[in-house]
Amino acid sequence: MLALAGVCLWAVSGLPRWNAVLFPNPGGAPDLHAAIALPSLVLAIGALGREARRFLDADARRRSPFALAFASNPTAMIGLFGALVLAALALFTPLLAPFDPNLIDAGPKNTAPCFAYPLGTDTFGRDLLSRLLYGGRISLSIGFVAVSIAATIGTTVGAVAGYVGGWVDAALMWVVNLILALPRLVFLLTIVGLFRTTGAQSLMLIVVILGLTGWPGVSRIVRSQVLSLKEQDFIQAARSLGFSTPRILFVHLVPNVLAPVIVFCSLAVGSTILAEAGLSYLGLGVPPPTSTWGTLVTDGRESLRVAPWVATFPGLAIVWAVMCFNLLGDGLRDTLDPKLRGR
Amino acid sequence: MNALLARIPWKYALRRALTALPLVWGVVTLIFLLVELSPGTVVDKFLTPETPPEVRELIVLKYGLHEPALHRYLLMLRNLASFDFGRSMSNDVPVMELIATRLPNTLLLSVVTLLAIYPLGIALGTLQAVREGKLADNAGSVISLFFYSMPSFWLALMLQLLLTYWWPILPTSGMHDTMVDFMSPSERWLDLALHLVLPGVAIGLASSAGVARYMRSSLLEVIRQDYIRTARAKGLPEHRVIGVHALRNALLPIVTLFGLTLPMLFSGSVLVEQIFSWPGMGQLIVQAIFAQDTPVIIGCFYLFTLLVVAGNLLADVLYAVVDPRIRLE
Repeated sequence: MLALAGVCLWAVSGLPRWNAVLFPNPGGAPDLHAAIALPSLVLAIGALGREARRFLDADARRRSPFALAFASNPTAMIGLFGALVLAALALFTPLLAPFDPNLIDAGPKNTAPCFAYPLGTDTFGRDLLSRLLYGGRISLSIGFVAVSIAATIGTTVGAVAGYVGGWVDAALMWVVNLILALPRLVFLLTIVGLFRTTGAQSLMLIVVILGLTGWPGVSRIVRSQVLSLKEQDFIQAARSLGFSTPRILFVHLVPNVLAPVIVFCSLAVGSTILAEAGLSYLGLGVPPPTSTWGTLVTDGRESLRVAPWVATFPGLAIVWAVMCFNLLGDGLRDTLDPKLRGR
Repeated sequence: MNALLARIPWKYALRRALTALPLVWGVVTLIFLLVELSPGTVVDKFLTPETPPEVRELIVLKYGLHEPALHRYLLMLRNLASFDFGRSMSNDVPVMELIATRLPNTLLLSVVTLLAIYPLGIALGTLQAVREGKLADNAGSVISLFFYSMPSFWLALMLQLLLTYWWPILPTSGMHDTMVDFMSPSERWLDLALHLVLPGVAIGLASSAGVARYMRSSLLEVIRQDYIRTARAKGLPEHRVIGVHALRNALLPIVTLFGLTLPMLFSGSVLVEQIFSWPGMGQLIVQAIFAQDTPVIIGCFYLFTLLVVAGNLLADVLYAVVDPRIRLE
């Protein structure tokens, strides 16, 4: 139970990350990146590390059936390990990166991977390993923050729609179906294309838009769970005690539907990273010199034949990250809700 | 066949089609609002500051941009209802003409991809479920997860590098060879088929992996049912148990995936068409977004939504047709 609460905390710890997005340091781009990336990563690593220790601790495993199931689920453990490695790499980037990521002529142009430049250099002689590490920070934090926004909106909308019912439900589900009918990437492209700005705001815009378009899926799941939960005795009891609707919603219902929300979060981090990479690839992502994994692939496209490594490694990094979060999500689903197993 | 036809829930289909109309209206309204709310007017985005004021005025008059937003909105709704999308601002041709040249290409790519990913995904999923927990199952899971987690544009670039540059066996981009005018009809078809391979693989592989994951879990669920145990108990050979009794039931939920795959394929085509210079809707809408060409953007969204709604409806109806247990009323 404790472990479950810890994982919930990990999901809910999106709220402090939110503050970093809503109140960015106006000083300039690097400060903003630090403001978003570092708190979110520290929180994520802290929560993940605490969970990992709990799963490895034999006593705790005996006490908690969830921890036992999680620790004996290879899918979940591989995913967790991969995600932890990513988080550690992102956190210690300044110590690990051999060069400034934007330093031109850090080495000879288009050098193939070698000892001095483990992943090679690009057409401007920038070190690819350093660029990959710094780009990962941005890509991962965009994923985390956008998913926190999406999960918060989706859970609220789904819980309200399911509990209140009637025309409120009909209206909210109409909006959900509307957003689900749109091809997400085309919709994202249109919004970013229309509202494109320059500088630090652009990162904010992308994060917020990814969050605002990512919630319908989870709200459907939450709604269906709430529909069955609200008929149960403990909700009837809460209602007959005269509790207000918001109190029943957020104190009694939402904590009971967090399991699928957590699974959604893990899977959605992967799909958000993919969506952001697609945006960046079309040149509508975070503006230069800041780079994400998506923009790194775009950079490599120009020199695909002379220096194939420039496009290859960032793509592999995306695959790794997305795979880890998918594995973690699948594993969490298996352990949190055996009924959904294998779906 | 007649029994299947009799199972089509016409009333339900009609009601669903009618309830889909507000959805299409919502999408069009949402895009219109976004365009109106975005900073600057359409004219500013479309013209440079150096454009003489007379020219600017003429263009404003030509596209009716001096009218209030509400008037333009109602006019747009009326025109869309009769499939009149207006004129493209950057090409000065009717939007319908642009779409008419692009839509068949995207549909060709999507339909060929759809036809390829389902058999592939179903075969892999079945193999995994039959060998549950064995090496083939685990290897299949890892492989499908790998492709499922891959950005389509990166896969497209890698395929281009491998199969058109290092080992040049397939054409790099476009729909036809430059020599297409000198080819016989059969050579033209072969040429088109060769040009379809790489974009199709890049768009479809991830969806195919998704189908495999879904198929595996669906078949596993069916295999645990009592009637499968009965089939085995009465001594049927395993290939008949799986092929005749299990597979037919496991395939039912796969039909519903069809509606979900369609928007995914459209999103994929946006990136992949760009890389392979495939002259389709994805390329058109990306160009329109960069040129802030509002009529084209709204027209494309209108058509996309209609196609997605139609796909979902078709999937629901198909599900009712193939599964007699489903009652849609």
